[in-house]
Amino acid sequence: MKKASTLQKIIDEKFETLAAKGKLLAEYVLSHPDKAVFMTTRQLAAAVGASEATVVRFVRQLGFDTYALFIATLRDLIDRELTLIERGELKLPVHGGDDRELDRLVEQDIQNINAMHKSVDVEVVKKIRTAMKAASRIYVMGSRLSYSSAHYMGWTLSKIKDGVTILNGSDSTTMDRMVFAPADSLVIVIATSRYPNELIRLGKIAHRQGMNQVLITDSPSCPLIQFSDHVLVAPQRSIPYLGSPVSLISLIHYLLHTLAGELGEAIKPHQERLEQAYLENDIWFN
Amino acid sequence: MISDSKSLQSLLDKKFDALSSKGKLLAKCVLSKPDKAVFMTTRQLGAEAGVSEATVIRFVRQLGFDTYAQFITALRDLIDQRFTLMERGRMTRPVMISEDKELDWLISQDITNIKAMHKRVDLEVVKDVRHLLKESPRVFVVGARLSYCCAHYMGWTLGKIRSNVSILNGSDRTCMDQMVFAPDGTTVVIIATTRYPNELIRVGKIARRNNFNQILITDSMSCPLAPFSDHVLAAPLTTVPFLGNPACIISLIHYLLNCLAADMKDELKAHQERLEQAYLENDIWFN
Repeated sequence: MKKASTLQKIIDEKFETLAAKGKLLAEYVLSHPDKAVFMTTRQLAAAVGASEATVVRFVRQLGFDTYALFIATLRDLIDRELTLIERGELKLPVHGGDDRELDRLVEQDIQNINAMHKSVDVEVVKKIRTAMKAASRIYVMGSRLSYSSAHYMGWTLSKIKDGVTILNGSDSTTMDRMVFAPADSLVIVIATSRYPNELIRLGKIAHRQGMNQVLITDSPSCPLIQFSDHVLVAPQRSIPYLGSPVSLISLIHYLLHTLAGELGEAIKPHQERLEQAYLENDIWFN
Repeated sequence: MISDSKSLQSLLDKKFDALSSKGKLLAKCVLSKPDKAVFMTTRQLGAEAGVSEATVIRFVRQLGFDTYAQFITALRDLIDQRFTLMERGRMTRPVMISEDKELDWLISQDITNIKAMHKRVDLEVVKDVRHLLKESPRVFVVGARLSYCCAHYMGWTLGKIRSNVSILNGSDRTCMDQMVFAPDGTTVVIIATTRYPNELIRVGKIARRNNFNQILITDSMSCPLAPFSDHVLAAPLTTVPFLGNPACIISLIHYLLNCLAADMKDELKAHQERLEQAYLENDIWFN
């Protein structure tokens, strides 16, 4: 397994100042990050033959306020760097039975939604809604896995507002379209780990153009954060073997639903025109 | 209001004369306010029409439904299929009471829908679907309009598990051209959410004519594509969403793909190693 580079950096910096037991812990965490991430303080202590108190001190010395924060950082690093094959080994999709697997995955989805619910910052959502209302054009961009969430958001947004474009962040011609965007455009980037370089590049371009930028992502360590004006995070509680955007979709649904509520009567003429076009072209069944 | 709910309407038309005078009152009440009736209990509906609860239950039986819940589900499906955007807005009026309450309410709705899917998913169908997805020489995943996001998610992730997967947009008529030359034994997965677009139904018909294996993933058993499909997986919604919400279907697809990954075993490893090699050579991922 590759090393968790940022954590590696922190540990490298502090390594000399660590106690002998601390050094043992550091070595263990870096050599078995995929095991350590699932351990409690007690289990980690037992793994290197130290006491729980030593583990807690070690985590503090690295600059984390709590053990949970340390584990969350470790989790983010693993999620960003793990290849598909390593993910498979981490959580071998071996299952006891179909229904138990279903129970487990549904439970996981619900946990992720609940975690999002707890961590979402309503003030940020409010600011994002204001920015969305004020923008004359909105670009919703996703890449690879996150393109499906971007498509959902852009599609549904276009049913309540005009001037919405869905962009694919893996397509370099997306740049050509952003170059001529009016100054009051808003770019919404949706990024899920592992983060594709092509999406980061486009985020940089939008930032350089001085466009207002919103990031919707699955972890506070997403590299696009530095370019974004507003950030919404739907954190994942587990490392998904195959990505699962359920909690992101749920977050986007909330954002759009409340936006529609704020727009109120203003969306009526917009929807009437759409319905008229649907009717004339016989789009819907029945 | 709703223009007319044809199937329920035709059902009522057929039986109208056979109904008692109270039954006729109830029929009128349901058809004139379907969006209200769908949220009513037997007691409330009885009170609304000025009849007893027992009459409501008899009325529902006479229409051929075994339980009141089935009747309400049929009514919900009809509303969901036929309501325009404006009517939806009126029904689940997105009024903001407070930011927090709105969030609580929407989240609990998502969780309720996922739990309902969990209870109702038919594991035997899932098994057949997995077998097809594993063995088919070629798989097309098709969605249109709102459901395209689910199709993209499924196709994208399936492409990380096996080869020869294509994501098609059912609103694009050129997807027909790709289907024409698909080999025998091809599987077409269609994902359809209400309101069902005609263009997607047309794609389903083309696939049927080509004798492909057809899998339907949808949000209601009353989806018009169900009759052409060999296997149907439904993630039913318990609410009429104002703006569509695919969270529940995504959760179902996630389960399906996880099981499939377990079925693939060693083939999966070889497939993913080739992908990772390409990622590495082209510096796709951050870090």
